[in-house]
Parts: sequence; structure tokens; C-alpha cells
Amino acid sequence: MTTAEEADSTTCAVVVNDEEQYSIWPAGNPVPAGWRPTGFQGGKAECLAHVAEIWLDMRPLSLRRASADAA
Amino acid sequence: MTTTADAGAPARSGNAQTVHELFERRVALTPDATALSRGAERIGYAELNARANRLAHLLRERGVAPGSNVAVCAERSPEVIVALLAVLKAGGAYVALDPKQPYERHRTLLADSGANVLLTQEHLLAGLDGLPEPVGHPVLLDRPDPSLADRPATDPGLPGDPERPAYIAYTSGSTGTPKGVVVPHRAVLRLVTEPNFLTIGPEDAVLQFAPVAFDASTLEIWAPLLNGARLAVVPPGEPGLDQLAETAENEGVTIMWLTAGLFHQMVDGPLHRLSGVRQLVAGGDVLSVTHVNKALAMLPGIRVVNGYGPTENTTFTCCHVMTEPVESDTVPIGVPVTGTRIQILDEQGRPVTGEEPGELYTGGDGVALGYLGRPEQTAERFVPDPTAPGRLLYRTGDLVRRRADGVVEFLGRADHQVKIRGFRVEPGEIEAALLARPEITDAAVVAQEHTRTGRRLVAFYVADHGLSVPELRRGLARTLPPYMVPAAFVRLMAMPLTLNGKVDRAELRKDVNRDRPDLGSDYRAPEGEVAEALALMWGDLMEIDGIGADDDFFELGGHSLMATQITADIATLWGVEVPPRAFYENPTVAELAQVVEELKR
Repeated sequence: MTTAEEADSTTCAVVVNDEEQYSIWPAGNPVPAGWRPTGFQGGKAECLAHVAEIWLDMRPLSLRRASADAA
Repeated sequence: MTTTADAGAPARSGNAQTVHELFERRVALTPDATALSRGAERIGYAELNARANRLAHLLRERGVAPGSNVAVCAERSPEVIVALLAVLKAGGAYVALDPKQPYERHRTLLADSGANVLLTQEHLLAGLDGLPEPVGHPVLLDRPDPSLADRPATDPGLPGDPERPAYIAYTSGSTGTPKGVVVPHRAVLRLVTEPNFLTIGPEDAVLQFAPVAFDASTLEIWAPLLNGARLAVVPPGEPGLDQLAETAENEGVTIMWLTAGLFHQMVDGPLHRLSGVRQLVAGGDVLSVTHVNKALAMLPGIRVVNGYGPTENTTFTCCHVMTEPVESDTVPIGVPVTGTRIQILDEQGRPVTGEEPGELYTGGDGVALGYLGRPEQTAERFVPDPTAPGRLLYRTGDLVRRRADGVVEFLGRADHQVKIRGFRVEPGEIEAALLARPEITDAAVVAQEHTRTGRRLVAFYVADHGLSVPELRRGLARTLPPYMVPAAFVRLMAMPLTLNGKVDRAELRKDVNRDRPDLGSDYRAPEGEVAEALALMWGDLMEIDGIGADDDFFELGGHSLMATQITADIATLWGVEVPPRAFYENPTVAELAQVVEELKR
């Protein structure tokens, strides 16, 4: 089981997919297909705080586009 | 690469991309079939569709559009089903508010969801008074707007999108505020179209009993309506076990869902009345092998299904279908449901080998879009799926093990989350509510196991001076749902700590304190045979010694499931049937004893 302290000591990378959904991934591990690093790295808490700053519209991109087309 | 539903979901549901489109297809196929029933009341597919369409057009005029969240606060009824369909048809997502939950909770959820319209019933209006705009002028479901009849009965026909939210389901949040899980249409379709854990068709009738705010309702409501079956709605209120079994019997129910606690009580009670049920789905918590086996033995031909899954993966993730007695020590959670992939990972996020235990991660079409307006918490729990490009895996926090035969077993939680009467509870949310009181300087909430009543929450707190327990309980009940209000409150001089300086929760779980709580009233001994027996009966269930004649059932920590159990004990001991409302109208030992005495005559 991963405790909060253990998780915080690992360096994480902020990653994003084509739907502009953000998540975190252990830095140094190959990023899964369909995701790319944003360039931000740090402790788990720092990465999550960064996500909170940049992920302002949480709707998947395809849905945002469909809504824009309909409007 | 996109995360829109892969080829699987649309193929399984024809070309329908959304819940209401699939429903509309059903309407075209069997317009005259019964969609809803409640006693003698029958609503056909075409009629339900027309009613939902009229309301959907009204909602559109009230500003509901794709992307809107619409609150529904109503008692179980056919109107609620009309309302949910109407919200989806108007492009919105429904946010169910349970009428049993406190007003302050409603305010919190309305603000958090940003709902722009509220749908409710006339008798609930008083409890919803003074809400801010735009929900301050609710739409009444049971006193429909006279202009509704003039609205078109035709489908609004907005372009459907499988990724659009269908509902927001609020769950307990460990940081002190509830969080809304955003569930898209494709996730609902993945649960109910050609499920591998259930067979369902036009000949079936499914019981609607779960609160809409509880995600078991997703299965109860949409499985029948998207498969041409009938939804049998249980009358409003809190039926006793016998009433529930009677409704299932009278409505010809063939499929029903029960939370684990209720399933166990049903098996020990009027199970024989469920002889018409072909598939009994139970879950929300650990099922007992004994009860599953008893159900299988007593109801020949029945299939008992253990349904497991977090709300974030849309009601079910794994199911175990049983027709033969279970021979293992625990009831497995089975195999992934259709449209679901699971992974069991170790602490470093690597797949475990063989039958090693690990944390369950789940992916596929059932994964929610995240937590509404909570990017941090979403990114923490919804992580990249290494096996499906661009897709998400939800990290459940549940520890499981895959047996050699491929069946998965549930082992426990990786964190403090507990299940109380089938509801998921983060003790941290209750601790935050306790610490919000100025008198309380430290608090910890744990679940303690009890042989008869199952699990109950016990709050331990440190305070400068003693607090009246009923006052504390009332305070929490103003903001928390009933199942999150602890059954017992224990004041400590200091919290026990582990060697690392953290609260020793294992120690607290063992600390069973049977003292009568500080009720702010004097103890008076119960008088007479019935009152004395009742005080002992309550004490056994609540684990409290020395309950007094004037002590209040709810202030002591009693709840409706406990009342059901006491009703059964009273029936066994004195051969009388106490109505469920007796506990509300006569909440003290002396008052309830009087009810029993009168019934005995």
C-alpha cells in the first residue's frame, strides 16, 4: 500500500492526453501511449497543485468542441 | 487518439450514443409495453416518452442546455423517472439530492454542482425554502405546470454525445467536503447494454428501491428502460422488510438489487416471498457466504449476483454470478463486467504476479470523467492506462487478489474508507465536521464491527469539557447525511498514538465503550417487563449498558435498519407487529414499551 509519505518522496511528472485530461505519472518511467509530459516535474503534491492551476476546463476536448459547434 | 467511447459501446447499443437515444429506440420498438408500474398504476413506453419530452421542452425554456446540471430532489416515484429522462433529453446531467439528507447538505451540493434548475415535489418545498437563485424557483414534478400540456410530446432530438455527463453522483470526500463523480452517457450504456452479469429482456420487471442519489439506481432504472423491461417503483417512504418483499411479490419482480445489509436481513426474514425473483443482485459491501448459500438453497433456480464497484467506474466493476453454493471462505467479486478492464498493481504500480494481492485499478467504458471541479483529486485517482492509449484507469483503493481460476476476491481497503449500510464513508469528512466545532481539539472516527448490527461508526474526540451527545449528534446531522452521523461518541483525554505519532486507529477500533452516553438528561430505570426487555434489546444492538426509560432511540444512535431488527425481535418475543413509524413517534424505551403493551392487548 502506498502511504502519503512514500508517494510524496517519488518524483512525478504531469502528463496530458489528447482530450486535454491531466494526470500524474512516475517521472523516469516511459509515459504510456496517448499521453505526453507537460514538462512539469516535482513531488506528488507539487504536481497535483500544478494540475489544479492549469486544468481549468475539465470537460474532455471533444465535448468542448462539440458544445462550441452547437452554440 | 481520443478518449471517446471505443467501438465497443456504440456497437452494443446499436448506434445510440446516449441513454435517452437508446430509450427512444425502445419506445419505437414497443410503444405500448409497460415501462413503469406502481400498484395499479401503469405507464407505457410511449406515454413515459411523451411526458419526459414535454418536461424536457419546458426545461429547455428554463435554460437547461448541453452542459447544464439539473438538481432533482424527490421521493421515489414515477415522476422522478420522468424527470431524469427529461433532464437527459434536454442535454443536462442530473444531480440527485436525497430528500432524507439535511438542508445544509442540499445547499452544499447545489452550489458545488452549479445546478441551474431544481426539480422537486410540493411536499418537499418547505424543506427547500430560501435557496438562492437560480434554483430558488423549483419546477414541481407532482403539480405540473399547466402549460406543460401545450409543450410538444416529440423528442427534442439534440445531437447526442457519449462523453456528455449523464449524472453527477456525490460521494464522501476525505478532505471534509463531498465530491461529485461525473458519469458520462457511455458509462451508463456500458453498464446496462448486454451486461455479462445479468440477463434482462421485455419479460422482466426490476424493482426501483435505491435512492437516485445512490448509484445502484443507475442499474435499477436504466437496465429495464433500455432493455424493454418494466421498472416497478416501490412506494415512497421507508418500507419494512415485509413490505418490500410484498411489493416485489405483487409487482411480479424478476430482478432486484439489495445492499448487502438488507440482503442479509431479507435472507433471515421473508425470503420465501421472493420466489418470483430470478436474479438477486446484492453488494455495496461484503456479502456473507452463509446468507448467499441460504438464498440459493431456499429459492430454486435463482441467480445471486455479488455486484462490486466504486461510483467512479459506474456502479459495477466486477460481478460474481452464483447458482451453486459458494465453497470458498468469502464471496468473490468475480470477473470484470462487459466493457471493463481491470489491473491489479503493486505499490510501485507494477502488475502483481499470480495470486499476489494488490490494488485494483479499473479501466474501460465505465470510467467516469473525474470529480466535478476538482482537478487535483481527479488527477490523483484517474491515471494513465498503460494498456489503452490515451485512456484513464481509476485507482479504487481496494485491495484484491486474482485466484488461479481467474475470479477476483476483495481483501479490504488500502485507506480509511468504510462502508456503512452500503454507503461509502470517508471518516475524514466526519472528522472535519467534528473539528469545525470550537470545543473539539482532536477527533478520529473509526468503524467498529458488531455481530448483529454489522458495522457502526464511533467518534472519538478530545474536548476541553464534556459535550452533550444529543447536541453533538444534532449538530452533525445538520450537515451530514444520516448514515455518516456516528452511532457513538466517546470523549478521550488524548488520542492514542502509534510509534510514528499518528492516531492509532487499530487501537480505537478495539476500544468498545459500553457506557451510556451523556444525553443531557438523568437516567431513569425502565419499569415493567416489556420496558426492561426493550432496554436490553436496544443495548445489545447499540452496545450500550444501562439504557434508561426516557432515553431516545435516535439520540442513542438508533437507525432504520436497527429499528427493523428490533421490530423482528419484538415480533418473536411478544407476537406483535410494531409499525416502522412507531420508532419516530414513540422514540423512548418507555413510549415504545407502551406501544407494545397496547398491541399485546
